[in-house]
Amino acid sequence: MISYRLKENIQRAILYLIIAILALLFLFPFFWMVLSSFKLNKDVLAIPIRFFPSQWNWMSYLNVFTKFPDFNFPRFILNSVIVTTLAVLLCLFFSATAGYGFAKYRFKGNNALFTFVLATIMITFEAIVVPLYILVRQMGIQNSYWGLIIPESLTAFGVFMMRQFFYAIPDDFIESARIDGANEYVIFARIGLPMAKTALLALVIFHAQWVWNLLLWPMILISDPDKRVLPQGIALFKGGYNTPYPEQLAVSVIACLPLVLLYIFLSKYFVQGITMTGLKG
Amino acid sequence: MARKVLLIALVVLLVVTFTVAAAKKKLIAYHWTETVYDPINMRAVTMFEAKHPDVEVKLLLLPDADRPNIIRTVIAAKGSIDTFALDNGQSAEFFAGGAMIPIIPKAFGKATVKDVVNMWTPGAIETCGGFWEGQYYGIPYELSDYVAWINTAFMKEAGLNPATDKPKNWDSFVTVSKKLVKQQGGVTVRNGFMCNSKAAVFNFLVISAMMEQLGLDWGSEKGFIASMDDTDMLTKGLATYTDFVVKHKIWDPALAENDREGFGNGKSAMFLTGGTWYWGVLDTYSVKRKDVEPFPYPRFPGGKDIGGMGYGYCLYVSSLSKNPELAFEFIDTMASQPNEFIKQGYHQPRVKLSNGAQALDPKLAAASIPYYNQVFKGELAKTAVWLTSTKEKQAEDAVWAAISRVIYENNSVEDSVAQLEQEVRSIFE
Amino acid sequence: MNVLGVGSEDVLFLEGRKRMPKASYSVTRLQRHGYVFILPTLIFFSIFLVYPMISAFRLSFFDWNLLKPKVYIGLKNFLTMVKDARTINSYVRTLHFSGISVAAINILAFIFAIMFSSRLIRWKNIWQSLIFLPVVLSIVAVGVVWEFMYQSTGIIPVVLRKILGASPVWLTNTKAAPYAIIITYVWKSVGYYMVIYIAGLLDVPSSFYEAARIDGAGFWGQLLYITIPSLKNSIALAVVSCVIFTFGQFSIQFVITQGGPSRSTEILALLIYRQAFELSKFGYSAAISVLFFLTMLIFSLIQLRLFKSGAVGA
Repeated sequence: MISYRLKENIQRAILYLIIAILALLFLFPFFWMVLSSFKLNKDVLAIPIRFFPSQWNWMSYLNVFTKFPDFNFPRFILNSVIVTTLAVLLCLFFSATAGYGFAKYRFKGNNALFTFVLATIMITFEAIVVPLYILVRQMGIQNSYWGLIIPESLTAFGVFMMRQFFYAIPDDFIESARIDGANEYVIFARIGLPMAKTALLALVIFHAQWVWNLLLWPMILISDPDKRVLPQGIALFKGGYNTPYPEQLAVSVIACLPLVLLYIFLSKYFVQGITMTGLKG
Repeated sequence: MARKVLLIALVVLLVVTFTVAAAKKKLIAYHWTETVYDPINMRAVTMFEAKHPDVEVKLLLLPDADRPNIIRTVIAAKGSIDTFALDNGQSAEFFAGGAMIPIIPKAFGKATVKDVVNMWTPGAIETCGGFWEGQYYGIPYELSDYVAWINTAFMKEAGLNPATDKPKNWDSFVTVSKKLVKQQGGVTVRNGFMCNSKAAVFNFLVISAMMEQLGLDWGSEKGFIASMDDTDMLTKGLATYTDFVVKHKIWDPALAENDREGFGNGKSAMFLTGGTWYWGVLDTYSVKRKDVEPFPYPRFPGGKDIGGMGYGYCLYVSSLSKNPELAFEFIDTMASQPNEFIKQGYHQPRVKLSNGAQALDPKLAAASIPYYNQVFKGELAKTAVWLTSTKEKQAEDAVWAAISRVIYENNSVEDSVAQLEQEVRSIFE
Repeated sequence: MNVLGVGSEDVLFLEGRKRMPKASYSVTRLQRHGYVFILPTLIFFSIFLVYPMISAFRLSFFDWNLLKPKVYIGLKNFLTMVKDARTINSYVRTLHFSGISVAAINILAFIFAIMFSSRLIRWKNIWQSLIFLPVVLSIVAVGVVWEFMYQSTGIIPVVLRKILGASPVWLTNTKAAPYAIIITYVWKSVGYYMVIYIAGLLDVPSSFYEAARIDGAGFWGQLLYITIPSLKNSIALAVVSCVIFTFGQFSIQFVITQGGPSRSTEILALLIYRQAFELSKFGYSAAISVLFFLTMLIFSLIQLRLFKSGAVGA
């Protein structure tokens, strides 16, 4: 008995050691980023490298909001929040409805149509940027939120994931609801969706981080400074002659905070929810 | 009855005034962003809108690297675009696609195109890429030349005399660089010289100047293609440049990526891609102005007396513009603050404003730009010419690939030149 | 039943009978509701993804720089592409990048998932969040930071020289640069896939492990005979999406090395972008996209056969 406890403790110690090393390795670049945002521009790239700033530049964060009158960062953040929230909601809508439809109904062409949807995963943004821009312009939604939101809400990965999940839900609940006389859409909304909560939350974080950091499409689509999103703001810092690194890094730190908070917030439900999603008999 | 008519007339009147008021003309201008210049450009917008209360101007400031792509995409989609800025390496392609319209003298209050052209220094529009197939299209917005820059503090440290020991030809360039290279523990911590280690364009511009010094006409498409037959000179030019890395080890590309930054932070003793504007940029780095001196590009003994690359930006009016004359007036305004820009070291080659007043004050130029009279002005008359071709970017790409093969893959210069010749021929066939 | 569709029944029945319901695709009124559910997705995907893709494919038969009118050149782009050393190099580089990244990411993600599910440690949530943190960072920031770290005077070579005595010149060495990119990409992505594996792991019933322990299986035995088979679906989802995402990866190489040095990190998506937006050869770029798409198509067909459309219990 004792040797078993000892063995466990050794295993525990080793695990924690590995975790400590991992934490260090994974967090190190992030620390560097945060610390460098407090350095003076010339110190960021100095030789020999200094981990800590030789002179603390508290102004970099303030400068981000005050020194660049054309770059209205609060506005960029607001735009990013609007676009990301709506794109994610729209993504949830598409993925949940299509996933449910493919998983729970046996209609002609189910497999073929699903393959069609799945095939779109292979369509990279870079390849379709120009035709998509022309199309969006024809629709009149270029340089607008919807021009960003709609294309950014489409991902076959979401449909794939939700279909997988809905497969796993036994049909019994649905059958009994049908017998009770509920219509299909009510069943979807009242039974299917709640059961899918954890998958939906996972999809939220996956898709949110993609949309939040997307640069190429907004860059081409949005020329109006008022509608720019945050990645464009960060990229704009790279001046032709001169890049103010501390400010750029400061913005990057600010930019990742909402997603970090979102993840921390969601992961509580996520982990709990998964262990609770017992549809076990 | 009369009251009804009056009411209708009133409504009609209201509607008309509203639509007229709402129909404020809109001008959309695509430009690039640079924190020091943005306020000056915004002021031009304010000035223009004050003169034309019925016009609303939207000045879109884009990252410089993305600007041509965004402009091109908007044009392809027949979007709203009135004016845009292009540098002289980019304009040929747009000309060939019919993207701009020729200068309208009336917009400047002049009778003929010649009158407009004379408002700028002779040859300025051509050097900035605004002249194409016999017609003038562009308004010069900047005209700069690359000169060589050296850190005099490092020179003194190495026992060199800044007044006499600045390199005059490429051989002494190497000798001086070798004295200025610094190593620590087997790693280069200071380059004698460096250029950008990732971007094609800067390397292309430096080596172009060298090739033109060797007599190859890299300024015109015809000359560039013809030069592919002159293997000896190509080899000499490529070898001179790549030897900096491979043979003389005065440039370690791994030390820093960006030469303007590297020089400014003391990671390089010399660099070759700075113009008058660099003074302002230097102030944001750690090296001090007093420790820096520009000097003319080194030459080849027996080669042509050509300096660093001359380049500029022009402002154009798009073929898609609905108010071309107004658009020309706007870009005239944008290009009418040379004295503001010169204070930042940014040189605009304008002699006279449209109202006849003096544009760039030469005394102000000399006062704002250290060494303006000694170095920059003289070299401006002898600049190398940036390749004018609709396939300029592909040429740039092929040349950088040739350089990269030697400095990153250890290919021999001869093999790389042979491949370059083949690639260029297939690009332009 | 967990997020990814594996339930306890499936595991038990996997080895024995195949409990697959008969695929009776009836067109009853009930089943037709399925069409309604998938309609919004079909419409929007077709308009905003498929139609532009078809336009792009059409474009591959033309020569176009966006400014002058399109010129029809038939199959010329494809003929050039097949002989083009640059495209072939790019393709090979992409296979290399994708192959190694997928292996590294999935193995590490799996290991992390197991480690962070162990009952021996506490504060699992925090450790998981730490690993996930790089996923949410902006690619521009990641590029800037890692570039600093890889430079010859940056922290990585400095540390390596202290420990090992020597360090590769990461970003200017054609052999080392691809690995620099891979390391950064793995760092940034492993958290994402770890989440998928954790989701899968958390739902393997502990009763299985109990049963196995009673039967005398140790850690490795449990791993091989319980954990991995139960995670078959998670592994399928993770590996397939990983291959697809890495193959289409663009931003990491764009930000850190710009495809250099000397095209050693010029992967396919970057080449597609470059041919279009730097060299103005939109038709040729479209032709390369066709190549890319066909590769993905073939890969998807292979994986569909291997995993039976990725859904066990379909």
